[in-house]
Formats: sequence, structure tokens, C-alpha cells
Amino acid sequence: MNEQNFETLLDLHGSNLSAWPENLRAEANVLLAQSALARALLNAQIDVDKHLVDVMVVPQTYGLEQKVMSRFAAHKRRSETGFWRGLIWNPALAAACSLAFGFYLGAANQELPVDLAEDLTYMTFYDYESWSGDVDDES
Amino acid sequence: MDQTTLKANSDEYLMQRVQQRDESAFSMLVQRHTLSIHAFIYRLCGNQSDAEDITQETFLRLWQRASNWTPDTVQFTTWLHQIARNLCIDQFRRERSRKRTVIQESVEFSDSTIESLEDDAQRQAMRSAIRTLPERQRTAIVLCQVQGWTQQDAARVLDTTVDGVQALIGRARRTLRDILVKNYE
Repeated sequence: MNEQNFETLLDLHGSNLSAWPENLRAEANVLLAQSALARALLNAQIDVDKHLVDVMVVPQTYGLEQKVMSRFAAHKRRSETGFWRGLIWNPALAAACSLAFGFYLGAANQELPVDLAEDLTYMTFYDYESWSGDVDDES
Repeated sequence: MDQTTLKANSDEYLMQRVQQRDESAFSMLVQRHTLSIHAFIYRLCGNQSDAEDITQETFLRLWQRASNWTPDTVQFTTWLHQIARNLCIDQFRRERSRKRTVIQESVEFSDSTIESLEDDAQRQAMRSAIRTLPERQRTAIVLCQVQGWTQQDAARVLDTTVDGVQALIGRARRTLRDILVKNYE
């Protein structure tokens, strides 16, 4: 084993030599006894492992479970009212509804032309075949 | 997996109840996993406020996407960590789009109160080094080296193989070691 192999194994297995495969551990110990570079690499990895755990300490958090549940409750409220609110505020739907309502109002209030209304009245109460179309003649 | 085969109050059992929209089961999962998920997220993003926000969002996604979880394909905790990791990635992307680099002053990994200046310098170097790691390497290191997960479980979260996780950890160790050695010099 040389320093290059040792460094690759250090990447793979970390600084805890007891976790290395047995045959590799024996070879690594021989190299460590001979090579200052190998020892420096191992020490650097030991420092990395130590500081890694140190700097990853998580600060305490208070009431996070409650915050999660509050956000969940807010989400539920939103989704329960969301359907109707969506219908009301959906601009396209609102525009379509207004348009349809406008057409309905227009159609409902529309009066028939006077001539046509008179024609229809006479068609209903008089014999159409004998009707000349002159209202005054019949009366 | 049949519901009757699941151990009562196991995560998997509770999750099946959540799929039936049982809020008390959801609440139990929240009580059980909030701190561990928060720790994982904090270690990835390094910011307490973001970590709390993403933790809340993670559990909301759990509720919204409960039907996507299938007990036969992935363990509940693995699935939950996948959700958390994806949300962290979204956060990284948002930060990047705001032209903020990963290395930033707002990152606030905690210090112990008493430490030598030399140790402090090394810790600072380590903090900066961790932040420069690509997300996948950071996740692999956090899960396996800090949280003690098996490489197999980490592989599921990272959607890769055990060999892939080993490679990620190896590259991360090499980067961190190089930075620390340069800091010694």
C-alpha cells in the first residue's frame, strides 16, 4: 500500500481504522508507521470527522410540533373554503356568469313589436283564412 | 401490505390511517418525527428559520400526498426524508435565483461557547467547506456520517445505489480534508 492507495481508502472508509476491512487495516498500520504523509492524512480526516459532528449540532427549537399543526389547520381551512371562493373569484367564471346573466335579463324584458303582437292576437281569435289583415274590418 | 399485518402505532400503520384522512394519526406522526426531520433539514440548509419553515412544509406535503406512499416500495422515514430533501433543493434553487450563493453570512451553524481560537478557525473552515459541497454529497455525509444511517437507506433517499453513496461520501471527505489541510498551512 502506498500513500495514494491509503488516501483513496481513507475516502472510502473514513478515519476509524477499526472499521476498515482487516487485511487493509494491517497494511495501513504498516504504512502509517513508515509514512509521515499517511499520518498527516489520517490526522486531517480525524479532524474532519470531529469538526463535522461539532458544526452539525442542531440548535434547540421550541414548539415546532405546534407550528406544524397550526399550519396544517390553516391549510385545511383554506382548502375547505377554497372551492367556493374559487368559484366566486375565478375571473373567467365571473365574467362568463355576468355575461350569461346579462343575456337572461335582456331576453326577459324584451317586448314583442306591436305589429307582431296584434297579428298573433288575431291569429288566435279569428279564422286566419278569412282574415284580411285589417283589424278594423272585422270589428 | 395488509393493514392487519402492520404493528399498531407503527409509522406504516399510522400512515395508512393518514391515507384515510385520519388527523389524529397525522398528529402522532408529527409528534414523532418533527425533531428528526428538522435536524436533517437544518444540517442541509444551515439556517434555523428556513429549517423550521421547510419542516412545516414537509408535513403538509405528507398530508397532501399521502396517497403517493406505498408501504411495499419505501419505508415511511425514507419517504419523509425524500420529501424534506426535495423541499431543501427547491429552497437552494430559490436562493440561487435570488443571486445568493450557498456561502453566505446568514448561515448560522451553532458554536459551542468555549473553544480555542485554533479550533474556532478550523470550525469556520469546516462550515465554509460543508456549504461548498454539492447537495448530494452534503446529504450523503449528513445521513451516513452525522445521523448514522446505513448507506443502503441513504441510497434510497438519494435515489442511487450503495456504490453511488460511497462515491459521494468519498468525494465529500476528500474535499473537506483538502480544505482543512489548506487551512492548516
